[in-house]
Amino acid sequence: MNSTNEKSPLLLPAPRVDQLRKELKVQSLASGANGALKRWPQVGVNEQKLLTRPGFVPSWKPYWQKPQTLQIAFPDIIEFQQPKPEGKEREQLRSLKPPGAESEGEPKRPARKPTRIKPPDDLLSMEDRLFYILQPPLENWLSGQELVMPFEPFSYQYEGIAWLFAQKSALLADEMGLGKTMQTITAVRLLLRSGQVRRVLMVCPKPLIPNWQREFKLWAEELPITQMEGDGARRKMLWQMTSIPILLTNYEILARDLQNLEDEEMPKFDLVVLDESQRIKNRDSVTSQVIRRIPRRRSWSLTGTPIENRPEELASLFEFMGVVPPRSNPDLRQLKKLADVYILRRTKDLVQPDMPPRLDRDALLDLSPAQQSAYQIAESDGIVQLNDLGDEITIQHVFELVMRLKQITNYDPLTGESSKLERLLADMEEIAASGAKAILFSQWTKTIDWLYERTKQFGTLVYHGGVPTKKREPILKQFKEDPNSHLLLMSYGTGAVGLNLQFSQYVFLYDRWWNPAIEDQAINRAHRIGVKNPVIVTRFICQNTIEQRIDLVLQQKREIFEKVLGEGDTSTTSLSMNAAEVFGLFDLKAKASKGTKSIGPKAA
Amino acid sequence: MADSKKRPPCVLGFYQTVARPSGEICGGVLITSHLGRPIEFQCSLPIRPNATQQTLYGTTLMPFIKGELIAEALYDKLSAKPDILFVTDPDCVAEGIWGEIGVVCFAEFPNGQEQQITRNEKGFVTANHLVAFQKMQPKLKEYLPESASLQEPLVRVEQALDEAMGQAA
Repeated sequence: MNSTNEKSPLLLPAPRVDQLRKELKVQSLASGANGALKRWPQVGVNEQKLLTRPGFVPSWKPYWQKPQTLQIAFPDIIEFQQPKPEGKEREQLRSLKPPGAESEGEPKRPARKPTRIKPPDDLLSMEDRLFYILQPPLENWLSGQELVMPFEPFSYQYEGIAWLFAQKSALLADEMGLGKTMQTITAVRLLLRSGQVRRVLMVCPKPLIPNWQREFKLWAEELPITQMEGDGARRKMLWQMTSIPILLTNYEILARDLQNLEDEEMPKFDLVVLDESQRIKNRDSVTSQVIRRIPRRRSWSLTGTPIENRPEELASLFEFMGVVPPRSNPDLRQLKKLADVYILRRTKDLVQPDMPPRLDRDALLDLSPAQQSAYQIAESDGIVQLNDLGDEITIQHVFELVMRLKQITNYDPLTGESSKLERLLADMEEIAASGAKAILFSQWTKTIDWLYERTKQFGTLVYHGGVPTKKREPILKQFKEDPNSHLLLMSYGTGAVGLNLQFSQYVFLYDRWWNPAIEDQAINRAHRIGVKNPVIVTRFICQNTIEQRIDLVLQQKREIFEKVLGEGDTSTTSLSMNAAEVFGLFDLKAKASKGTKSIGPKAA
Repeated sequence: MADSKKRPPCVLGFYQTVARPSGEICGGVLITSHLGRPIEFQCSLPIRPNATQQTLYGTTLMPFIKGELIAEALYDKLSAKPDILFVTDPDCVAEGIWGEIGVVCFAEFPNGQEQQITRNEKGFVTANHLVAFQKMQPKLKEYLPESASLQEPLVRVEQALDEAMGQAA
């Protein structure tokens, strides 16, 4: 075979096979003794142990250690029995749709950013922080998926609920009318449902008990409320019953029932809520002391006016909330720092920038000649009388003089002259001509009746404590529906709370109340959620009179409030005048052995 | 007032991982009721793939770390096993780790079939998980609210993991 032949395919040479002889060639000796050598030798295999360990394992399977894990288990949901629906009204409440579930043909609402619960800054435990982070957005809970709400809350209310839910210590200080009650009830509802709290104590002023019951029924109808009432034995039993989820009581009963109990006998609560918590502003009062002794895991305060007179009042609330040590006196800077963490305060301007504004204007008026004369006589005589009282003078004496002077600024009792009335009539001409409506507030029913006789041409109606309860509702209805009724005269005491008069565009404060918070409540009857037009508020202040001096004192006190709770807060606060400030309205001096000395308590 | 101890009609799982620029990875699974209420949360401590793992697994390192190593540790520790699991990262979908539980991924991935999960959400399911998913589909329709977002709880898990990693650092 020629392997170099290019035309032929390359072929390998055939293997050469040599034949081997298979016989074992053994030469036998001549003696013939080695015949056995012709046999095949015997060959076997034996196992032998190695003398040393081998240095390499040829096969290898990877093993990875499992990562460590952390577990959080959530408490079981607590179910409350739903009350039976009461007719059509209840059915309507249940027809609310959750967000995003619009039916066809319905205009699509802009998507709202879900409200998430954030853990509070002072919460350090990782498990606790994750508990809040992993909660669903509030809208999922409250918009029909799990809990039925009668009305959809506003965004700021969702935020308030989420904030309260996570807080162990909280002071909700929203301006009046923004729904502190509803936010609190909903947060309590969520805490109870999620098993975070099982026993809640709600404390409020006695007149507000029916209000809380009504609001609970509206916003959390499935929650059973037990009011602390009855004789001592029944109340004792109620205090000891741990199965009551929500116990509603007032400050007086609480102080009376618990003040004599030893610490170990005190009923324990998961949450204590104080409505109008300025009631414990005095640390040394029995009520404050008793409330602070109640064992509790969460402490919430509700008030639109956390400071009434002095910043120390806020310290008392912080002490109840457990964020300052007992008897401590934080300075303004420290209070401000604590307020940033533990106080949530929103004003109408902040939460409803689109709400028509409230325009305040002070009408500075000069007294009419007859008023001026009457005022001067009353003031000089009054001061002389007070000075003569010397050290026997009391706040009551000074009050009497202040009231007399304030009444003269409203009108002169002898001649009936009144610069305020003149101004009111001029303004009302315009208001009635434009078809608008106005509310006027005064602290005296006598003044209201006097004004009624002089303003009948505007279809004036009267609403004060002297009007029988049965007649009150029809009066409000007439004022709302009668196009010829332009003026409603109200007293602060009767008309300041609980009425919705947002169809009124004008509010007159005929005289000044001691406490701007009350004035605000009155104004808020007209300037509240749902108002469509700006509300013009006119405060009548007679120049160079007691009214102007009171206004000055109240202005100074507002500044303290702003320093603690922020300058952006434009709302009025409860800054009622204390005894020293009432005395300070006059330069009172008693005769002393050498000249004169000032009379009255020293300012705080 | 009574504690509701019974298992909800539909138990949902949400598995999410987060990675740090430093290379540490941790994962968490949130178990919720059909209404999104949390029942249980398990999260792993942050782990960093070692050099051997990086060499051995190469481009499949992340599916191994997220889909197997962390997922298996979490699954073993869960007291309440979910009926269905939702993820956003295809690397978290590992065959075999989640047993008979259907896994739905909200991001597209190879071999995944697109499925309608709720009225507004679609997801991808692998062939291996398809039977389990189809078994659960009628329950999802029956019990999930129309407006439910199944991606929202994954955001919660991510935030919880950020918080946990922040505290662990």
